[in-house]
Order: sequence, then structure tokens, then C-alpha cells
Amino acid sequence: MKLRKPHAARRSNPAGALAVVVAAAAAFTGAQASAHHAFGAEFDPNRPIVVRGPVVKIEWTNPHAWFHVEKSNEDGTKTVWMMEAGTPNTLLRRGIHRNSVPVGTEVIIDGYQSKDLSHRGNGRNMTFANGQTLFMGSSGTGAPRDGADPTEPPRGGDTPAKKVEAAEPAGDEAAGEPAEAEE
Amino acid sequence: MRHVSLYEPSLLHSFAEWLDSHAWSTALIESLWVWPLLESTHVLTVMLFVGMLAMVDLRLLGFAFKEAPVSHLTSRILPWSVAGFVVMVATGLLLFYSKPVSYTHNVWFRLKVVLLIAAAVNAWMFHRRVSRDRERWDSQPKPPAAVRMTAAMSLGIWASVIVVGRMIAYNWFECRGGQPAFIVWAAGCAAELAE
Repeated sequence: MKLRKPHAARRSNPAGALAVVVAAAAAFTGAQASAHHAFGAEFDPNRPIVVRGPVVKIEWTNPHAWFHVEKSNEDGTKTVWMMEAGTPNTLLRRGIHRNSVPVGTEVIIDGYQSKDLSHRGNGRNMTFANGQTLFMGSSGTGAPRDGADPTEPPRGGDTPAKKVEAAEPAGDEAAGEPAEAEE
Repeated sequence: MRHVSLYEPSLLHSFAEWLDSHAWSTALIESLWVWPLLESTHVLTVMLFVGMLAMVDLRLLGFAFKEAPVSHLTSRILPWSVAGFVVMVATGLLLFYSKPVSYTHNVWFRLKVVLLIAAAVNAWMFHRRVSRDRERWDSQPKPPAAVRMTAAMSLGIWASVIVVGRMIAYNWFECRGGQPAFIVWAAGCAAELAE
């Protein structure tokens, strides 16, 4: 963000100063607005993916947890996919914490692949072997309104929202409302 | 990766690894509440510090509070600015401590540190300037060009610090294969990839 050189505003007046501040603020909020939509900065809404396999590692980190899932490919090879989730706090409220998903748990995660086509994705729904499904992502990130997020109904209305069953609460009353998990 | 053999892990990297091995570092990054509160407090105190500083800079540029002597403004505003600065630095250090290796090899973070050093140098130059002949221009609606220049630099640098700081979370230059040589150098990737 370039500031106007002092001599460029020789006739300083409050209105002029205000204009500079407003312009600077506009430039700044512009940058913020595009950066706020974490989804669009990193992930491609046109590349939906489904990753099925055992969890091999979980990073319970802020501001996003990462689930590493080993997917068996059709040619017999295996690929570890890193799927992004919400914050540890968000996940706890949705019903899972570090001890409820031990390494080796079979999961199906559907989401969207990263723009750089690496083996990374933004996780939306996580489904366990017993059929329980959990929205694992973050709200308000600009991700496609595909119905996975119970707080963001799908666009249009002709596609009904997927029923998202609350996972088993993790100890206490953890099935509260989903939290914002923006960085 | 092809450069790896040329480098030993850097001192910075070793230091970051050492911090990362602390249980408290792990506890912070995995915390349910503390990390989000730290980050929020960091952002709020950045707002307080840079906001207060911006008003002083706008006065020095001759845009705001022109009728008030600079010293009158700074004596009222700077204590708030200092308070914001102290908490901002403390929360910033803790945030770094929570994820030291990642930040150490994040080009945006590195750029932010360079800008912070530039801001410190600029502030130091300004205070030398102030101590020289402040009485002469303290009441001027528009202080001399050299003073205005440091004020403009301050605004520009701190705005850049905020933008670059926000970009830390959107780092598409992570140390992995396929990054351009410039990024491998700027992010110190050799040290991390050599692990």
C-alpha cells in the first residue's frame, strides 16, 4: 500500500486527509476481503474429491486441523491426502476430539482439492464406518454451498440440504451449534 | 531439493526446532481457546498501536489536529500506543512460539520481520530528528519535509506489516518440491528440507 508523498497533498484540508484515509482503508479492506475467503485462496470448488481410507495422522492445530488419510488408488498405489478441517475448538463442538478419532479409523472425507493440485483438500463432510456424518469444515469461508454446512443452506433451493446427523458427543454436551472457524 | 546437499540446517532453523520441541509450544497450537484468544488479542492490539500511531503520523503530515502542538498530541496518545505495543509484541511472540518452524520458513513472516526492522529504524531516525529541533516545528500545522517523510514512511511500513502479516496465513510458498529457487532461498527451505 503506497502512501501519497507528503508534497502531493500540499493544500492539506480535513476533507483531503479524509479522502486519503478512506482510500487507504478501501485498499486495505479490499485486500482483506479477498484474503478472508480462505477457501477461494487455496481450494478449487470445481474439483470435488472423495478420500476414503484410514486416518494415518491428525494435526490438531490452530487455526485449522489437518486429517491425513491414506487413500488406496485404483492402480494399487496409496496416496496420503491432507484434508483441512476447522479449528480444534470447532471440531470439539461438533463432537470429535483427539481421542475420538484414533489413528487407523476408517473415514470417508469429501471435499475440494487444492488449486495447486497437490494431495490436499478442504474437508466438508466426514463419514465414519457406522454411517455417522459430520461437517468438519469452516463456515463463512466462501466454500461452495453444497449443503454440507448446516448453517449455510445450499443455493437455489432445488437441491435439498443433506441431513447432517450430529456425531456422538465427545463427553459433554458437545453437539452445540457449529462455530465460525475463520483464521 | 537439489540444493539440499549444499546447506546445513541453519541456526534459525535449529532454534525453531528447539522451540517447537517444547510441550508448551504444542499445547498452544493445539489449544481450544488460548490460541484463538491470543490471535484476537494480537489483532486488537495491532489496531490500538497502529491506530494511535497513525493519528500521530497524520498530525506530523499536517492532515489531522493541525491546530494542536505535536507534543500535546503525543503526550496524550503515545501512552495508549505503548500499551498496545507491549501486548502486541507479547502476543506476537507467543504466536510465533506456537508454530516456530512453520513461521521461520514462511516468506511472508520473514518479510514482516524485515518490515518491522525497517519500522524500528524509521522510528529511531525520527526520534533523532525530534530531539534535534522539535521546538521549532512543534506548533507548525505542517512540520518540515524530513519529519513528514518519516511519518509517511511510518504509515506505509505499518500498513505493509499488517498486509504481509495477514498473508502469513495464505502462504503458497511452503517449503516443498517445485518452488522457484528464489523462494527456496528466501524462505530458507534448504534448512527445512534437509531435515
